[in-house]
Amino acid sequence: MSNRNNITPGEQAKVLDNSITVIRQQVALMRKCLETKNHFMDALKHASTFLNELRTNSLTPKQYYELYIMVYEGLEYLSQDLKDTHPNNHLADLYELVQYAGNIVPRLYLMITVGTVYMGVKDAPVKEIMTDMMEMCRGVQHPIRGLFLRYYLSQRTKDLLPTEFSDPSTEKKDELALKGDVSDSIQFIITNFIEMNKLWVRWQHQGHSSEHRKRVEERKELQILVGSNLVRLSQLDAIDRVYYKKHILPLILEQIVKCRDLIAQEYLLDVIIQVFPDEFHLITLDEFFDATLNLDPHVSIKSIVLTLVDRLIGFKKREPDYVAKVVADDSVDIFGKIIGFIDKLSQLKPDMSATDYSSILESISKLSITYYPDRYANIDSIFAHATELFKDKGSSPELQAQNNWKTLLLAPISMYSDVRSILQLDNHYLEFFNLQSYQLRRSVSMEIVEKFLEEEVKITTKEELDKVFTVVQPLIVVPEDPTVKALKLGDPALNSLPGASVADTETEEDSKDSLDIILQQESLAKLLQLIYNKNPYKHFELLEIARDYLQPAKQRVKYTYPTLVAMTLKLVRKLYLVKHIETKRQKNKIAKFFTFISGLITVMGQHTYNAVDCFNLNLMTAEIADESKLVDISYDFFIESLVIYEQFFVDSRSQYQALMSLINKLISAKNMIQQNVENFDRLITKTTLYSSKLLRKTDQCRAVYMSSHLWWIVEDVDDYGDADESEPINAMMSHLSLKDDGKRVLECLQKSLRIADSILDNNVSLELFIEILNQSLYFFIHGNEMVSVRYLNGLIELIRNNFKAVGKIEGPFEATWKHFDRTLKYIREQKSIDPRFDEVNA
Amino acid sequence: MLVLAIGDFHIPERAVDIPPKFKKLLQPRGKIQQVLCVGNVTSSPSSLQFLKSLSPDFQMVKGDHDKDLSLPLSLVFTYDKLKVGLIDGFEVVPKSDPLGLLAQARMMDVDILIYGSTHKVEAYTLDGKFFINPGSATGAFNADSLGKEDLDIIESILKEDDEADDDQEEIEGKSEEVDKGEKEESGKEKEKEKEKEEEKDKENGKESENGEKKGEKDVEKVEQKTDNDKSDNTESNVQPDTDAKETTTNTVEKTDGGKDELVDDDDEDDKLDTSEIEPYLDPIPSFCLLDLQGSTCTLYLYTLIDGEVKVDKLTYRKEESA
Amino acid sequence: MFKSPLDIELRLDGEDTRETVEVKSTKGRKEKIPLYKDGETVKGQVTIRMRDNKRVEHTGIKIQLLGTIEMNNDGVQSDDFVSLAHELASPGELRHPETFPFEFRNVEKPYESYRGLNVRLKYYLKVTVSRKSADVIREKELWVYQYQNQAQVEETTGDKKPMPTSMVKMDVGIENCLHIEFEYSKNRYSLKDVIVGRIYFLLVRLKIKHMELSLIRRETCGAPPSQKSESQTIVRFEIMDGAPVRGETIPIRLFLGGFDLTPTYKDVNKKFSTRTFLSLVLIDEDARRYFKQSEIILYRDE
Repeated sequence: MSNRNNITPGEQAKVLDNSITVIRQQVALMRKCLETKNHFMDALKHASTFLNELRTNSLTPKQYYELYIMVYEGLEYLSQDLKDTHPNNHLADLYELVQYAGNIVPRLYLMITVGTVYMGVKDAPVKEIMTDMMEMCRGVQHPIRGLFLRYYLSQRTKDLLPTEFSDPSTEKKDELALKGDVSDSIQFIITNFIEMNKLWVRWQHQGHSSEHRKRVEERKELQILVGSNLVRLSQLDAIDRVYYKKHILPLILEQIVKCRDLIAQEYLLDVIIQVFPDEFHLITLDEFFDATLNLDPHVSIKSIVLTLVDRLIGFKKREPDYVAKVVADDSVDIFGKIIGFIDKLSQLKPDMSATDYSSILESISKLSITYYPDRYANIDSIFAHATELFKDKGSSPELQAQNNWKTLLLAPISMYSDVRSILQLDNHYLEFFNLQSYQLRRSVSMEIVEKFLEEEVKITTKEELDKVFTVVQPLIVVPEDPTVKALKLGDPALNSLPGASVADTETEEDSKDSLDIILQQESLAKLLQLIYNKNPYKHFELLEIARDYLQPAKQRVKYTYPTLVAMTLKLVRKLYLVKHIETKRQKNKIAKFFTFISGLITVMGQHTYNAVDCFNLNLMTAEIADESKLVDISYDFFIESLVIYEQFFVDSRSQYQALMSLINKLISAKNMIQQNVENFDRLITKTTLYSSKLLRKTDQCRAVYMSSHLWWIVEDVDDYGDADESEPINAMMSHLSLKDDGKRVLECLQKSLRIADSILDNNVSLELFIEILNQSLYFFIHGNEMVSVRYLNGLIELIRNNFKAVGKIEGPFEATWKHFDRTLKYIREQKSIDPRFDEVNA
Repeated sequence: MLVLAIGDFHIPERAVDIPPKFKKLLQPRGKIQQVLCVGNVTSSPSSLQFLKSLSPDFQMVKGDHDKDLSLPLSLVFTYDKLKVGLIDGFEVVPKSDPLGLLAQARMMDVDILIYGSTHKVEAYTLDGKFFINPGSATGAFNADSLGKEDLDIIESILKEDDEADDDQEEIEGKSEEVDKGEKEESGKEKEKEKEKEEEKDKENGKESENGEKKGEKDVEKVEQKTDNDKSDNTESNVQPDTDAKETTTNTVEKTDGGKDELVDDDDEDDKLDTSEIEPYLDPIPSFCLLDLQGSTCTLYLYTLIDGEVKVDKLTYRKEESA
Repeated sequence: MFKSPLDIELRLDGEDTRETVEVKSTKGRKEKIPLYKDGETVKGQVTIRMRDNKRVEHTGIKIQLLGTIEMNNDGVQSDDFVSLAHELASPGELRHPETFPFEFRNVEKPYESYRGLNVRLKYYLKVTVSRKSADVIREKELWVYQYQNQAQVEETTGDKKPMPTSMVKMDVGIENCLHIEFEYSKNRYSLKDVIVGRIYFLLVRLKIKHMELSLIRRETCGAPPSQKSESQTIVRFEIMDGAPVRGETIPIRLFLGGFDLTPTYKDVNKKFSTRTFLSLVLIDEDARRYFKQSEIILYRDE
């Protein structure tokens, strides 16, 4: 037997081939002998010959396994023949006979083959045979050969071991001593396990140390042989959890601890977790954890704990009733045991990496949430540990650690079925949270917000709101460009709160936020919309609190305040609808809402780039105030928007668009028209004036003719009368005229005509003329008598003449002409339904 | 040609997101050839990104709340024999006024005008042109006054509540007369409400089977089912009812008159619970799909009502001008 | 060589049914030899036939039962320790085939038959037809077993300070290299017995490859100073494969019944001794052998 280390793979392949040939031949010869009378001894000789191939020292474990399989099949014939042809008493002799074999490996394979057949016959001394085979197997100390031999023992005895406990009251003592019961089987399997494990561990230390990695690989290939023993144990139905706890696990764990081998410890603990039932694990946590604390220092306690915890969490899903019972039973304090373990762990393994530690804490918090969803104190104590750990060595800058802290923080968020549960968490969670870097806190905050949004949970009390804002704090107070600065200076201290405030002189460009920040602010604004209380007053109080929390965001309130404004306006509408804006007291109360809004807009207004938003928010507020019949308040907000318009709207395009919005909002301010027309007139006069002051003439012209609507307001009480097939006349009847200053309308139209006329580009003037004509038609239809048939005809005539002056209709004029043509066609069509059109020269 | 008309998101100022059921329906699967957005989306980069993911051809006009001044105010597209105009609608005065829109359509020389800004989904023909408002995809709050239908529903809910409240208060013997009047009123209201529901049911009948899945699966199926519709019936059934004018004014007057002393204390304020009217305050989330073929536009109005997606179908056929 | 004029047939009573012992002859052939006990009567007939029907004159016919020890200690020496004789016929003439019954009553056979390397202890019957010219002789070997029980063992081996029948325990080692403890269940075994024991490894720094148990028979003959000893390994039995680690215990079990062993004899007739040693052999990876021998007493049990 040469040392296999000196052998090349090519030579190994040759050895393997040779062995395979020998085994094949000898198995065939053996079978022939078995089939012939009186050749049994020869058969044994052939068996012994092929078994000799298992004495090889030249093969890899994998190759050896190949031989083993062949040998196993060969011996299966022998075993079968023995079963079929040999009388019981003969087997005892045969068991002795095969022991004359001079070489131990063939001898033991034959012994086991005969012995297991013997075990199967009636009244066989099963226990004696078991014990004897087990004892004799000690002779093979070579790791590979020993492992396979013992695996053979295990395979062969598989269905022959006693499976029941004996009943001492009925069975005779000496009979028990002879035949054994399941406790002997357990003993048998555990012994085999221990011996196999020792051999397996020993393999690591064979050969040259340079082959360490190769050994590791080979051992992984062999591990299943060892693990199979634990599988066998787990298949013994007679074992219950108490027996397991008392008589099985301690022995297994003792071996695992004693072997002091990294691979074995990690693998076998994993096997224990996987093969034994969860209810066993639940009552053996102490034993398991104790063992875990005594392992090789390089063993990943993390993965072991994680595997166990995953199993237990899965158990809850598989057997919720069982787990519920266990959990209800206070005597089995699973969490207490685990936290006790963590305590010991931190004492005994001060060197454990922060990442491992936090992974363990994470998984345990998941377990706690799964098993004890209501015991928030559990989570708190986990984070108390985390906090301690972090203070100890947490500020490790490595990314891995950072990620781990993050997943730890997110564990409760992902596990609680209701994300609001995280609001129940006590101070340690927050303390730990606040210890983290800004980046980390921010991303955790984002996850929390996303979770809230996903689950659409409402935030309904001040307490909840306070908690929520504590955890989303990092989204509110954003350090100045933390990524850039952190990169530049590499100084983690910068991750803490920013010191200096932002200078007031910024331009919009300066304040341009990264997409990241915009998305983060967007989420924050969305989160605000989860604030809710069925009582609008209480709801409002919550919004005020939210505002207080948001204030430190400084210029970034521009992302969130508009949401608060809209939400407040919705509350106003609600109160109005339920008739809570009627008495003086109520009106006073509602005034606070508007003060609140005004405050929000004012803060936003400190930054010029928010002008459009502020303008729109003021208009919106004015509109709701009017709807609520708070016309004075409405007026104030209209004024506010006018002020903003004057101060900040400088370019023509935004001015024009702002005026369109303004005009529309004014038109809809129906209560103000009815209750305080003086104010209203002040507003529309101002608006019309603004229109006439626009810089570009086209804008000016259009704004002015649009302003005409401010003086002719009908309430469209029939929202879809126009779509009705009924006569336009009837449709008109359903309009309530709120303002009918026909003269001012005409003035606007005339003014816009003059502006259009003053434009040098003929085509542009023409287009505007046509637009004015269309505008005039609107008033004509709506019965403004100042806009008469004569007026329309005059306009039409004007346009026609202008086209004539142009001469040939071509180029840009073509489109304008078509617009005119369409307008005339419309007029002609109206004649059929509205006799007033008869006189219009279309 | 399948075109998505959508808009008025107002995320995150007024809405959290497009309803998940819409998102599911709209998942990018290459069927939508063009997305027309009526505006009010730009403060949410994520929403914009979502829209752009639906079709490589994304078109958008500026809404009154969009801050991107580079966006056009109007766009015109030609699909075979149909010209479609896209505007936000805030620049039409009075806003969403049919005559105003008609003039706008004439000016833009379009057969179909898609507009937004009111958050009210609707579609109708006027003067041979087709007007489509896809409504708000998020059902975002809108400061414009509520539709009559919603107001009526809210009114009737409040009436019922009052009755319940009044039952308690009657023991104390307060203001029976007012209550009686209101009871009668509410009785009438309820009847009206019922009638309306029935009408709606009739109208919806054919479409009501079109659950979310069918709509999602294939719009053509919807078409087959609803082909019985007269093709000239282009009236959308997602529209407010008529004749509510009197009731509103009445109630306004009455409440103005009487109730001061009844509920005037903070305690009452604390007990206030407006959750019942909550569902009627915000617009119905909606969007539209336009199937444009030759001179025909088949319109699918998607609305989310009580958590269920409803699909209504309308067909518009352009009159061939002589 | 003359052709023998006579044919002598030596038949033992009940020879066909008598137990025999199979023994390997020096030439490697197996022969079956009838088995006798100490004190057993040896009885049979001798039939003498003439060849060619010629009369044969003789000076007497006798039969002897001899027990002899042969040693090829510088040429064969033999020494009869048993010598019994019966006259079968007085001198005369053999004309017809004639049969003579014989009987050695209760023959004392003090030693067990043995065929060793240099020593042979044998019992045989010898028929001699004496003639004036060359005698005609016919021999037949008998095999003798000496059965003993435990108590008798001590006497027969002549051990003055007999080892007690007890467990054998030994503690051996190579300094800083190996330290083992081994034990056998006892120090004397019947030939059908089984050796049971175990080896306990206290220190293993050798790269052990395997371990064997050998049974070695040592035969000593002659008297000092010309004493001659020779050993022969009778059994070689692998009891361990691979290298154990400290603390490992390896079982020993060796069935003796199947081997050709000889009971332990000391100073048989002052001529020779046979002893058996149990040798534990460790073989390391460099094929070096380390062994420890200890004698075991073997005896034949009935």
